[in-house]
Amino acid sequence: MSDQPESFMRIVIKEFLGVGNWRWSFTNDRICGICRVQFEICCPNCDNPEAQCPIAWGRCSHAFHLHCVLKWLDTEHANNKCPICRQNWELRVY
Amino acid sequence: MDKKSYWNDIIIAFPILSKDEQHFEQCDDEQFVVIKNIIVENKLISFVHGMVMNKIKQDLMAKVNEFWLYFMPNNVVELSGLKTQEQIFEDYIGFEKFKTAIDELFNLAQSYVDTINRLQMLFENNNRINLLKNLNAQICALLHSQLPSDYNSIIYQFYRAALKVFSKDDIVGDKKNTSKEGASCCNGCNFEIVDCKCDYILESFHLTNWQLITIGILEPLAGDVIIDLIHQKIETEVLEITKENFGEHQVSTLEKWIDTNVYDWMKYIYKPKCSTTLNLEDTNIEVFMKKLKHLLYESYTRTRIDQLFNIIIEYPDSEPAVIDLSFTLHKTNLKSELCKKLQNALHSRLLHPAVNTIDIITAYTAAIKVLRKIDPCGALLQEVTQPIRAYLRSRKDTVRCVMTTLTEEGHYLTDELVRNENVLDEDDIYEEENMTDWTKWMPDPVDANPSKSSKRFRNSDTVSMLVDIYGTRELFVNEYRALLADRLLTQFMDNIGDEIRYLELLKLRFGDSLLHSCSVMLKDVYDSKRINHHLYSDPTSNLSSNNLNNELEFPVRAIIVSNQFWPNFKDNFNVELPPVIQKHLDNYTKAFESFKGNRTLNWKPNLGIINIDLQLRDKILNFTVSPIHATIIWHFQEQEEWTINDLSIKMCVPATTLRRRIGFWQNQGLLREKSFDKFIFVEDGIPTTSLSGKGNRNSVVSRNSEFVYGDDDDEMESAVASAQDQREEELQVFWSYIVGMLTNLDSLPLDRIHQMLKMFATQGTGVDCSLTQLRLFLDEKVKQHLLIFTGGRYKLAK
Repeated sequence: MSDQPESFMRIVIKEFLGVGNWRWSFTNDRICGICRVQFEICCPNCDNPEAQCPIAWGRCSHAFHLHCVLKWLDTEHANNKCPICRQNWELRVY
Repeated sequence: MDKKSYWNDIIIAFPILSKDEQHFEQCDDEQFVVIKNIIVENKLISFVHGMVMNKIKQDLMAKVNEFWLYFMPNNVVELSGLKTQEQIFEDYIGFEKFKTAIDELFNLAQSYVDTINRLQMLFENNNRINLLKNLNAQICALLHSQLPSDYNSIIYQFYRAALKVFSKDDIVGDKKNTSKEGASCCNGCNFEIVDCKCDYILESFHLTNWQLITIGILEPLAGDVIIDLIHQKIETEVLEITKENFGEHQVSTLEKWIDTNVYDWMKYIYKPKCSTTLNLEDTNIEVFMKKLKHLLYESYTRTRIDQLFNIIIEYPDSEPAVIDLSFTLHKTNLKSELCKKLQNALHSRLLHPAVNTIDIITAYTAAIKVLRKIDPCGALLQEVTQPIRAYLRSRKDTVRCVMTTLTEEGHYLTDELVRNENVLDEDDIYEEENMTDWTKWMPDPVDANPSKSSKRFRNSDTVSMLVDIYGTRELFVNEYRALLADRLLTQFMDNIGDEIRYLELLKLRFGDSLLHSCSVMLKDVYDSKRINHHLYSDPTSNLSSNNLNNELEFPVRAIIVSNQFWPNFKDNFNVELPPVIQKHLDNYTKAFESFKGNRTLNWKPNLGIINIDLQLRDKILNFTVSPIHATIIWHFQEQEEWTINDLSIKMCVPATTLRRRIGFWQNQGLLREKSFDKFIFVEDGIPTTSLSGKGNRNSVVSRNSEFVYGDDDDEMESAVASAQDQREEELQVFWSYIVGMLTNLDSLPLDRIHQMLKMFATQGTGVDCSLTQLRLFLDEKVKQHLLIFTGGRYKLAK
């Protein structure tokens, strides 16, 4: 499209060094329902975001920090239910 | 025997009592013993004594006026107006006058000695009465009773002339000697060298002093003058030696000088060699020397205090002067003067708008080091540097300057940071520390300001002192975060090792928690490097199969940031990049998505660096520019002419920003403003800032990124928002709370909102918000039509 032969000038891009931010796809909520911290920030027990503090999606379509929801499921009264909708908690795998 | 014969005998013994003294011959000692017995038997001692003393007094009275005549200022010209040469001559005249006067006085006094000695014999049983001493006291008293108003000038002249001769071989004199080589005048007496009077002057000086001591009027008559002259001498000596020379230890030199030269001079005056009887005792001179030494310290300290600002600026070259000063300052009582004078100097020379912040910081750190050397307990430091801190607090770029210099390669503050890396000052440790070595406890010096004493402050090192300017560390950490982000985004993954090292050093100082986001940032950059590498080397990735030989293909690398940990990026508008680039970015995103499940990428097209070749008809220009710049020139490739408006719509960039960016290409001589707001591509333009004006056609001319981030483009100066902008962003945390509040309660006054936020919101987020800040924030929201402000209450806009 820019390859006009009679062009008085042609630009050749040699390298692009871009900046971008990552975010979790498939989430409607921006924050974890348990710790109320944004998903892109790690859970309160972690130091580093992303790979070290992943997100867990339930079949009920609720999402939490993995660490947060595991901690919740460890408690006695959790009964393996989602803390928000009280349906059975099942991990959804994308 | 009748009274008449008694009287005759007495007159024979004391011829002074007769009306015609010379008429009688002196009686010999045998005769005197007889007469003495007569006087003693008739209890005439006190009568005779009274008579003789009275007579002497009368005689003296007549002579005293004569004596003072020498001191009359009839031809003593005002000395200050004279040149050295004339003054020296004048001094010499004075010298002669004083010598003659003292000589006469001495002879006069000497003429009474025989009489007095006889009188003394009358009192031979009574050792308490020393008539000679009484006589001297009498002379002294009589002289003082007739004292003319400015008798001192002659004495000054006398001693000055002598001192000049005496000190001609001094340290200072030496220097002058060499410079005056070949001059026909003697350095000491200023007479022609052939008839130099130095020896004569010294000799007569010696004699006169001995005479004065013998009569006992050296101290009362000339004491003040001598001391004053010595003071002057010391002061000039100190001034001469310390003149703008901070690189040598001088106190020891001066001490040696005073111990030898001045001591000799004192000895010369007070202990003439020929006198064996009356002189000052050794201890007296010793005490006097001690006083002189103190005076030396004092004048040294004073001169150094006057120069202290320069000393600080020249530190560490001026280290010897600092050590000397700290030594003498402890011997004198001049701390408060130092404080005052240095503060004045700081005010007039440092703390005004003409000085760069970075220079103030440099001076501040130097002052910290110097004052700490001078006064290790830190009280002085705290007092003196108070205004600097206050002033730095009022400058906006202080924090940035401090953090830049702190983490800049090879800067002295960086060294400071490295050197003190194990000084982790934890605020609460100090109390306990005091308890463990309480035996070493020292009270604050008396001149320390008790209201401001803070042990922590005094013990802290240079970097902590800098950081404590604002009393809070968060400011510095935030600024560092912005700085780090800037550096990482502009240098693109170079020097990460260095940055990690600085971060570790800063962590030791500021603590891990404050710098947490910085370590995440560095980890992001590191991970990005890894991801880039992986995406291009993994055969399953769609990037690896790309054929880079195609001219339209180019590698895309990215820094993938964890948005929430980075400072907010400035002007976050979404530039519409050329489709070719966009396609590559999408490709990269896809590769990223398949590499990292569940995650996707949001590009920030206004950030980053792009390397392009501009192929013109006869040359190739290489540029490293921001994507916006590249996009602008890209569009000129398709269409030779663009108006700002069209381009703005095409690129989705505000016109003002666009205009500024176009300026870069204008500087390069590639775009020209044909008519208002209308730009045209010019191939043969000459760059106004000619980096490569060699005219070397057909070669790749590289104009590099220093232009992109050059100062002409203030918006690009920093990719991230400043600490102040961030503060406003922080308040954004509260917005959701406020919206919730106002939805439920309809409308609320400012202080209610503040209270409720305090109750519910501030604890979790750790963000503090004052009432005024909240009002500013809410007013901003009102401006954005998100809130309505009526009747003192805020309400959601519907």
